[in-house]
Amino acid sequence: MTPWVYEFRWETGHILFLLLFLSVAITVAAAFLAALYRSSRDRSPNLQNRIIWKAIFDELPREARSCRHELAGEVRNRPCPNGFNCRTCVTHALLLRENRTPISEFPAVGLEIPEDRLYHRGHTWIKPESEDSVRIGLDDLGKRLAGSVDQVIFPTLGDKVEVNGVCCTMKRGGALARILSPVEGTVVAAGGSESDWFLRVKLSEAGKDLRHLLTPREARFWLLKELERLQMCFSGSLAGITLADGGNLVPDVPSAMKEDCAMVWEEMFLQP
Amino acid sequence: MDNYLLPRGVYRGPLWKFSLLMFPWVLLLAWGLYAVFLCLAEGLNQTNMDNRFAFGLWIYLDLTVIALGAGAFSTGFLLYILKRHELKAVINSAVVLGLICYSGAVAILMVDVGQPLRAWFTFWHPNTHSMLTEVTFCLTCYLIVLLLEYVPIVLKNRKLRQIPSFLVFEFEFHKLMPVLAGVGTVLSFFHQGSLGGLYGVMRGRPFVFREEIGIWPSTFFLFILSAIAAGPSFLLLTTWLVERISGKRLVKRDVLQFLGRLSGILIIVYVLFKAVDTLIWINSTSPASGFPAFEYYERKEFGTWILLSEIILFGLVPGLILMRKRWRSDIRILLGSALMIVLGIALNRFVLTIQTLALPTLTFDKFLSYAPSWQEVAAFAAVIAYGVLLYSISFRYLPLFPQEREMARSQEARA
Repeated sequence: MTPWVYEFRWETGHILFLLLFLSVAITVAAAFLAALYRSSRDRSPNLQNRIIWKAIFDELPREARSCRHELAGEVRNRPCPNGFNCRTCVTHALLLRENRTPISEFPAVGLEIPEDRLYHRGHTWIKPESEDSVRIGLDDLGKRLAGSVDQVIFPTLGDKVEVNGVCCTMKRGGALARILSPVEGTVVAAGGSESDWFLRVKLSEAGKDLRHLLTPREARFWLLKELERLQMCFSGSLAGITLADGGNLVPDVPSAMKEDCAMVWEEMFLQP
Repeated sequence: MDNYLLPRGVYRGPLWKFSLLMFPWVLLLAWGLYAVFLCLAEGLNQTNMDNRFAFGLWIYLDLTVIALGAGAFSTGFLLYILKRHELKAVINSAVVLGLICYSGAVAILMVDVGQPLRAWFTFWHPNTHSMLTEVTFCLTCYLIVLLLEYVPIVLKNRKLRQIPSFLVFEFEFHKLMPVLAGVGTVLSFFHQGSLGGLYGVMRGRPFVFREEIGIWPSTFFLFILSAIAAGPSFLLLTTWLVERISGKRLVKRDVLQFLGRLSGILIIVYVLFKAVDTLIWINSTSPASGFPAFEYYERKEFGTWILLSEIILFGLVPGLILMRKRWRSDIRILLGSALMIVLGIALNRFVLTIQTLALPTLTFDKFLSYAPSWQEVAAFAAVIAYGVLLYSISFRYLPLFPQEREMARSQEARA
């Protein structure tokens, strides 16, 4: 069939067949190369963070994707469609204007939820310290999940962090958790002990918009859901004998586990 | 020991238990590879095929697994092109099954050809008058497409996902899946069809020779239809089998029912075309070649029961059952019908491969019988063992069923 074959003569059938075959082969190769090119283009930290966050969010189970208004009992059955970005959410703005009556009783969570902070779903909080600077730390559940970590790797002072990007990393045994930043800005200070660390971030202009963070009231409902999720994590063979409920969470969860805490950290600290 | 590699939020048994379960399959694979070595080193005299019975167990296996592997392209087409999002629950499993079926078929073809080192001849010196040229080109391309579709599934492994560049590549590659699904559909359409066309053009074998529709014989279209009807049934059966073996629910029941309904509708369409085709063959094509059609069914081994079983028992009956919602809601009926469709397609491929060659066509011909040698059986078994191993490893380490986690959670919550 091909020109290098003895006594070959081109016919319409040959041309059609080769064109079809070549177009298929080119399409397949182009698709693969396009994916390679696009992923090399996405290597900038900002784009990479956004893609990783999208992948994390898309894989979250339904109960971890509840809209803040569903958590507070203002609407029924509303999974968040926006990657928890309430800044651009039309429904969030609408519901705030409507000022619906939420559930009047607050659940007893058994965790500390200070009123002077705003909360992020990756188990961090921010505490405004001045007009453009905030302090970031782990919430009470996050601290108990971390327990006594071996090492906290902080960003270098002056590094920029962005919402849902990594702001620091915790290590304990073989487990590693990328802690997600609740705000955008520049890191100006970092410190504290392994079990009670903090970051100080100077907010960027966009970072001053804090509408995406949960209020203490909303955090109370959310943390209750998170405790249920944590219980689900233990339903396998991770934690020896446990009671279904009753009592408070131990201050160092990993120390009470049979295996390392990697699975629980990945689940609760929203890892990819 | 391998906990850090297992998908998150789902339970898998201990590694030692898994290894123990896999060990017999490894032995079977090793036995098959030894037989393959013998065939390649000593020649095809290791088989019971000859110049008269040139197609045997291996071609039968090829035709059957390629038909059953059609679930990969039909599911991909329905999900990525027609946006039937409920199939997201089984697409990964469909891709792995497709990859196993096609790679197994290509591997056994290499042995069957006898000189795998000259496999490239088919691309360099293709014969445009042979249906097999189209089959070779499309099969090779589609295997590459399946391998590419398998890459993002591998990159979903818990450990690999933690490498940011892999995750980004998987994300970007996934966006291009509709392109690969479209290409896969075109390729599958042609190679499934050409495998059927291969028989339909054999004038010297009036048992399978068929009239042309356009440039292709009717068997071209019948093969496509039967493959896309059997693919979802095979996917349904394997999903259920994995559920039974692993002891957990992997997909919602409505997904299985959708696969059953799809298979039912398609098999009915196939049966209609097949019936019309058979009637034309009985009344026109076969007598025109000098053979009254019923002469072929005079032998007890291949009596009319085989034709009726193929069309009615394993085609029309399960098709009609799967069309009724009430019946397919019963999991036993659903599975039974899917099994009948799969068996029907396997029987069809057997008839075309073995019965065709066994029947005499010349006055001095005798009825030929063929039984595969142990080397043929071992190579066949090796493909099955390879499939079981690849699927089991994929199931253990990759999220083949995205609904598994959610179903495990709701099971826990109920408990």
